[in-house]
Amino acid sequence: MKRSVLSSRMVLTIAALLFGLPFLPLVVASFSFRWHWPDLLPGAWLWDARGTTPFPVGWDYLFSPISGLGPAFLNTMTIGVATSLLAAFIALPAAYTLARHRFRGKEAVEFFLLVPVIVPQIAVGIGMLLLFIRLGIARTYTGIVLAHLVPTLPYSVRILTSVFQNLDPDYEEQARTLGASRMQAFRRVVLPMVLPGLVTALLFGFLISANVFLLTFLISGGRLETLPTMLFQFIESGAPLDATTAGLVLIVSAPGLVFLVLSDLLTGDPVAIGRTTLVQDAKQ
Amino acid sequence: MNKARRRQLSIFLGLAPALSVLTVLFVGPLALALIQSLGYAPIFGVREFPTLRFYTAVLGSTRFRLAFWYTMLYALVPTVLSTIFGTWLAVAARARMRGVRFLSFFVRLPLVVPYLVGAALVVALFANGGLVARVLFAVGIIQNTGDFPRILFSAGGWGIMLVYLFKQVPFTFVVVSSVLAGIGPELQEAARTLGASPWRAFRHVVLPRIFPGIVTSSLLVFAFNFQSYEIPLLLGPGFPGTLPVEALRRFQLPTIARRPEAMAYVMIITTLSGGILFLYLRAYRRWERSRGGV
Amino acid sequence: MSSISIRSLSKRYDSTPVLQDLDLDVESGCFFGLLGPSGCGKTTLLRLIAGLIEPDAGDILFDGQSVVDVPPERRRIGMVFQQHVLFPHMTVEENIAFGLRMRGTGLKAALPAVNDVLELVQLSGYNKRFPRQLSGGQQQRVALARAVVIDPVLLLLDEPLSNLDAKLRDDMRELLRSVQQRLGVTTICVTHDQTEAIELSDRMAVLFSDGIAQTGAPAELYERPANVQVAEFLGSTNLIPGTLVGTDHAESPIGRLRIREMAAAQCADGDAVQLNIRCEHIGMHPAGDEHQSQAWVRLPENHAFAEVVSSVYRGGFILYLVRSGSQTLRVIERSDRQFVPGARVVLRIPAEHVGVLPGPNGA
Repeated sequence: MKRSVLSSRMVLTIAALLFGLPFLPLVVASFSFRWHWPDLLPGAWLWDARGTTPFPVGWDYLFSPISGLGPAFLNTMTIGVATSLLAAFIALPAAYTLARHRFRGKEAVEFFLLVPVIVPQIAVGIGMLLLFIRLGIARTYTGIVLAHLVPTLPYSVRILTSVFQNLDPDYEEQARTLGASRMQAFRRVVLPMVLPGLVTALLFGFLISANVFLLTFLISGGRLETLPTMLFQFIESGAPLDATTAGLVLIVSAPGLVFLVLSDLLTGDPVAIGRTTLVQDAKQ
Repeated sequence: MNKARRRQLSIFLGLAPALSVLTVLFVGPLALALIQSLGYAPIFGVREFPTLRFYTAVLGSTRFRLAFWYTMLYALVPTVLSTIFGTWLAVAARARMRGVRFLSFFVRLPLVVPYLVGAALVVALFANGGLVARVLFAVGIIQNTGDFPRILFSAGGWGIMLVYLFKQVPFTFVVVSSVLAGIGPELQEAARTLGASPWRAFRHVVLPRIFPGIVTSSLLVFAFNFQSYEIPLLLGPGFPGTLPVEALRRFQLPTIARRPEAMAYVMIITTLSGGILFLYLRAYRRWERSRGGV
Repeated sequence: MSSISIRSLSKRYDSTPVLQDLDLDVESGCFFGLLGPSGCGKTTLLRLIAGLIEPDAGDILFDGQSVVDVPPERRRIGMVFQQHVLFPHMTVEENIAFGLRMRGTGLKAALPAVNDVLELVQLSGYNKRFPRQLSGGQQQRVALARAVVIDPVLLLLDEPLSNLDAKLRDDMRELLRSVQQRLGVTTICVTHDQTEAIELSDRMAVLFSDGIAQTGAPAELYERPANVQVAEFLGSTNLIPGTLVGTDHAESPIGRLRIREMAAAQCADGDAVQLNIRCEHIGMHPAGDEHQSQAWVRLPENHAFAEVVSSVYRGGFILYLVRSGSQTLRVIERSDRQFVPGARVVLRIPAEHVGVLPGPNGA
C-alpha cells in the first residue's frame, strides 16, 4: 500500500511539472530584452534596456497604447461577459425543463443541444460568416457574440441541467404548499439555491468565449481583435522566446487561471469541471 | 386535459429559446453551406443547383487525400495517448494523500487556457532555437540549430500533437477523475481484500465502471482534433494542411467561382467526423452489449 | 379546519397504476394516520391531496368543495416533508414567515405569528439561525411551525419522524400530537411505522398497493384486522390454517380451538380459514409432570402442548419460538419467567383472542 501511494505521488508530481513548468520559461522570457541562441538565460533584461531603445519592448510595449492589447482585452471581456450572460439566460429555461420534465422527443432535444460541440466549427463558421454578412452583423460585436453562443450554449445547458437535477424538487413543492406560485417558488427558492451553479455556468461560458479563436477570426475579419486572435498573430510572426509573445501568453492565460481558482473555491471540488463536460451522456 | 396542454406549453416555452437560437446560428449556416456546396451560390456567381461538381473536384484531388490522412494522424495519435495518460493520471490522483489538490491544480491548468497558449509554449520549447535545443547544445549533443530535429512545421506533426496532448491529457484527467469520484473507492477496496492486485483491481473493477466516461472523453477529444484549425495552421507544414485548413484556403481562393469547393470541404469534414464518431460509438455499444450490458 | 373526502381517486405513472379508485373520508379535526408499506402509493396520495400532482380521475373535496382544480398554493394546507425540510438559504424566521409573505404579509408584520409558532414548537429565540445550525429534530420542529403558521385547513405530514433517531422520535411524536390538539387542525400523516400510526392517530387506514385494506380506530385495526394482510402488517402475529366447525370452533394443527364470535356471515361451517392469534395473547406455562399434564387436558379453555425451540431476549420481554405438532408459533412473554429451549410448555389461548380471517391462504 505504501509503495503504491508513493508511486502515485511520483506520477502526479511528474505530470504537474510537465504541465506547469512550461509556463516558467515564458515568465523569464517576458522579462528579457535579448535572449540569443544558445543562451540558457537572457543576455539582457527588460529593465537594463529601458531607455536605450527608441520604442518600448516586452511588457512596456504590451502596456503601451500602440500594442492594441487594451482594446483586445476589453473586447475579450465584453464579448465573454455578453456571451456567457446571454447563453445562461437562454439555457436557463431549457435546462429547467430538461431537468424537471419527461416528454416525448426529450432525447432528441438533448442530442440536438449537444451536437454543436461535435460538429466542426469551420463548417458552422464559414456558413455563419456568409449569413452574417447578409444580415449586416459580420464584423460587429453582435455577430461575434452570436457566433460564440454556438460553442457556449451546449455547455451552459448541460451545466444548468445537472444543477437543477441536483436540486431536490421537494424544495419547490414545499414553497408551493406554503402558498408560493410557480414563479414565486422559482424566484424565491430555486434561484437562490442554484446560484453557485449558475455562477459556475457563467464562468464556464465566459471561459469558452475567451478561448474561441476560429469563429472570432472568421466573423471579425480582422476588424475586432480579441486576445486569442492577437496571440495568433504574435505566434505567427514572432521568434521563439520572444518577450512580447511571452508576456501576451501570460495575459491570455489569466482568465483561465482566475476561473480555475474561482471554481475550486466555489465548488470545493477539483474535478467539478469534469462533471460539466458531458460525462452524463456516456452513462445513458 | 387543460392541465396537460399547459404542461406541454411550458415545456415548449422552456425549450423554445435555446432550440431556436441553435437552429438559426447552427443549423442555418450548415444548411447554407450544404446548398452552396451543391451549386447554389449566387454571391459567387454560381447557379448550377444541383451539381456534385464541387464534391468531385475536392474528392478527386491528391491534396484532399493527403490532407485527410494527415488530419486522421494528427487527430488519432493524441486521442489514444491522452486517453491512456489522462486515465492513468486520474487513477493515480485518487490515492488518498496530501498535496493531490495542489499538484492537480497544475495538471488542470492547461485545460482552461486557449489552445494558442499551448502552441506558444510548444514553440518556445521545441522550435529549433527553442529552449530544449539550447539545453541539448549546452550538454553538447547538438552543435547548431540545424541539428535539432524538426518538430514544428513538419509533416510529422509533432508540434501539433504536442499541443493537443498538452490540452487533452488534462481534459481526460478531469473527466475520468469526476467519474471516479462518482463511484467511490469501496469497490476497488473490496477487490483488494478479495486478493486482487492493484492492477487487477483496476482492470476488472474500476475500468469497466469508468469506461463510458473514457469513451466520451476520447470521442470529444477526437472530434476536436479532427476540426482544429489554428494549431495545424501555425505548427503544421505549409503543404498539405489539415482538412479545415484546406477548407478555409478554398474559401480564400482568388477564383470566386471555385469557392463552393470550400463548402464541399466543410460538408465532407462534417460527414467524415460524424461518420467516424458514429462508427466508434456503434463499436462501443456492440462491445458493451457483448458483455451483457444494456 | 376541514373535513376531507376523496372519491374514486386514480393516479398512474407511465401506465403503472399507483392508486386506483380510492375512497377515503377524514373528519374535521381528526388526526388521521395513513399506514402502508413503501411503494403502496401513500405519498402519492398525500401529494395528490396537496395538489402537487394531479389525479387522472376522481375528486378531492375539502368541506364538500372540490379542490382538484385549485393549485397547491391556494389550497391553504400545511405540509411537512420527509427530508430537506427547510430552505437552506433562509433563516428559521424567514422559513416560517415564507408562507405568510407569499400571502402578502411583510416580514415585519409576520413576526408575531412566527414567534407564536416558535413557542408552540418550543424553539423560541431560534429566529436568526440557519437550518444547518440546527439538529435534525429542531429542523423538523421548524418545518412543523412553518406548516401551521398559515393557519391551514389541513396539515399533511409525510413520514415526519422517519429521519430522526429513536429518542428524538418519541419527543417529536408527543409534540406533534400536542400541537395538533392545540390547533385542532385536520391532519393526515403518512407513515410506514405502525407504532407511529397507532400512537398518533384518532383514526387510521392501512393502505396496500391494491387499495385501502381497512379503516378504523387504531385499536380496532389491531385487535380485529379485516384480513390476513392487515393482521400481518400490524404487530407480530400467528396465522394458523384452520377449518371452521360450526360457528364457534375451528380445527387446527394445534388442536380444536374455540374462536371469537364472528361478525355475521363472515364464514360458514367447513370453510377453510386463517386463525389469527397475536403473540402476546398466548399464555405460556410449564407443562410439569404427567399428573399436571392430565390436569391441563381437562381445562375447558383453549390450550396446546408445545416445546420451546428458541428464545430471543427483547428487553423486558422474551420472544419464543415454540413448536406444537406441526405448527411453529411465536409467543411473547414477560421476561420474569424464563423457559429454556427444549422445555415442555402449555399454551393457553383465550377464545376472545382467536380471530378468524377468511381464506385458506389469505395473502
